[in-house]
Amino acid sequence: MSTQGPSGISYAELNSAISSLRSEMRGEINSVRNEMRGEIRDLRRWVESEIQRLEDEMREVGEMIVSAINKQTVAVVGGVAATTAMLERTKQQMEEDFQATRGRIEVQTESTLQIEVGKKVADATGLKGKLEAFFQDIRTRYDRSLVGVGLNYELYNQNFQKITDDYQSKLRTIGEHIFRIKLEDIAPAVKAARVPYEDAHSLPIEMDLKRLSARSANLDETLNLLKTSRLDEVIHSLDALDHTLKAYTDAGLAQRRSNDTLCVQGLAISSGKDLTVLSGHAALRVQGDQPVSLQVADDSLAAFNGSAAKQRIAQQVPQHSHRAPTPDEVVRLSKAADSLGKKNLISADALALFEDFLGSGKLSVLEK
Amino acid sequence: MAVQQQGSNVVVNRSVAGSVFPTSERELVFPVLIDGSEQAVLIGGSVYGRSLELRGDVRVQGPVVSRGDTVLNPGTHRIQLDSGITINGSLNCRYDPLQPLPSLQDGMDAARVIVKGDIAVNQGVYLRNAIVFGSIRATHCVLENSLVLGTCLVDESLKVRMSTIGGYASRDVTFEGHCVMLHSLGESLNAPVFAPMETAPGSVHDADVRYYPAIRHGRGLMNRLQQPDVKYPAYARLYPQTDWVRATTLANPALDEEHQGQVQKWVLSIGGRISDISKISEAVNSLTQMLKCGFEFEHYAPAIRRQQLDKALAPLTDEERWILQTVCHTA
Repeated sequence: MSTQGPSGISYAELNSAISSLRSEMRGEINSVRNEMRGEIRDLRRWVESEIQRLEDEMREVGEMIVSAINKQTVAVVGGVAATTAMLERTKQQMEEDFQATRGRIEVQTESTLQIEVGKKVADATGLKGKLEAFFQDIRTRYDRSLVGVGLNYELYNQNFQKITDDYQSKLRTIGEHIFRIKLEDIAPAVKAARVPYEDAHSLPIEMDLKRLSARSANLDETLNLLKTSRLDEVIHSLDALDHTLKAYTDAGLAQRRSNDTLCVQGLAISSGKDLTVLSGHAALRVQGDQPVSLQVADDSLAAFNGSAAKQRIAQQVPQHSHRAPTPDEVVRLSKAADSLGKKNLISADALALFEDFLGSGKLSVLEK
Repeated sequence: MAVQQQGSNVVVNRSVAGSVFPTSERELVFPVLIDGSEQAVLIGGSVYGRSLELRGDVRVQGPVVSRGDTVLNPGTHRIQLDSGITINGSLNCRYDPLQPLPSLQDGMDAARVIVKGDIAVNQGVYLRNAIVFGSIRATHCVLENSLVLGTCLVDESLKVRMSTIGGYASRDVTFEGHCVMLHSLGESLNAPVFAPMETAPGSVHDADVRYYPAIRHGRGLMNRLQQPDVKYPAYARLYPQTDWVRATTLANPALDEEHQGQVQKWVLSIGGRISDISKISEAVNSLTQMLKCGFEFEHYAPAIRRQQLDKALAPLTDEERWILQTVCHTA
């Protein structure tokens, strides 16, 4: 971008004008100098030609005289002395005249040359003065332009500052307005979007969950009350019936029991590294971080949980074939585990672990 | 020209493909009137005005922002805002009380104002015969014969008159006449007030708030108990004595509550009620899918747009379907 003053002339344009003027003047001076050299050369040539012409004329005159004398020598032998004297005088006169003519011609030539040179010098001097005046004028104008440029520069700075200040002011005004619109007009939307609806409505959801858990506990309590007031009585009545029947048949049964074969159901879990045998255990509700809570419910079956039983089962396990559980068995196992979880007989973590184990496909079932 | 300057008003009485924004500093203070009373006006972009009045058949596809008050005066036409509205002052639906028109109680197509997106207002909102496909955020809010599918977050008072709302959080709440809660979401600092509603013809309706999932199929989105052939099961009613409970809680971050520490609040909760969870779940999922599809419809690829809409429409009731098709402009 070119710097431009208020006058509308840029520095580049000014420099270009000065350069063109300088080259123009240099050309003019050179042309004048060449012209003067040509003039002087012409003048010198003319003077030399004039001198040559005069010399030629004088030589011709001399030769004519000499030839005439030679022609008349034979005829005028008698008056040689007088003629010789006369000729001598004539020759002398002619030499004097020639010298005088030559001196006059030289003086005239010199004066003409001086006049011409003076004229040319006067012209050159006048041209030099003109050039000097022109130079002076240019220098003055240049200096004046520099002052003008300086003044324009200051003016430009002032105007530029004004424009910048105005621009900053307008920018600030626009910015203030934009921010005012953002803060005042858009604020309701920003405020509305600030809190997610999940947070805004968390209280009713928490209240629903709390009331659900309270309701669940309430129903559990009702169920327990129902059990103790109704079902326990029925269960106990069955026990009472068994007890009564036992009293009647005790003697006969005692006789027969010695020959009976008792079957004990148990659960053996083998992972290849460890073997667990559970028989006669009852599951209790888990508490805290317990995965499962088991308790031996029947001490008479303790022998089936001992090391001998473990060894026996460990020997039996490799002798039977294994198979992967069928999908139906997996579903039933999953449902059974889910049911245990709902009854709080296994923890949620244990339930998740069991589901993962079922999903891994590593469970195998021992064939009978 | 569609946008004209008449005196110190900017008047738009023909459709504009772009937005209606002030083009000079002085126009910032000019009220803007979008007049669709003579011919329908469609604004393809957004609208900003010092104050706004929308009159007649007007549809604005972009967001509407107003520095001052905004008046919606649809008359016998419909005003449809496709990208919500944000107002620094108040929002009022104007109507002529001497010329009663059908209301949402008569059917969804009687809606005079349909707003897709949220209504965020710094002061008061008064909506009548309006469907809000989003939520409302305001300081005061009065809804009359209106349907808000989202929630109403109101700093001070919320009045629900013969209307249906998704949920609420407010300092005060008043249910007048026959109302519906789409979800059991509601909390207020003060006990909710249940008052009778006197309608323009002079009939008085007792307060009756119903739970929408229990009346969803075949009965519409509004509580039309005043109509002689409409009956609702008793279990669909929300009882003030049992379903609104008092709880100790902290201030709601969504409201400008200046309470420090714990406060007592009244919360709508159906947690203890025996109910068919599958029906509640179905209703909630359908409404959620409807809102999701409505908001995302323009953003779907054109090739699957119809497919997504059909998927969302499938489980909806007739009135829900009409709303979704209307906000998606496929009706």
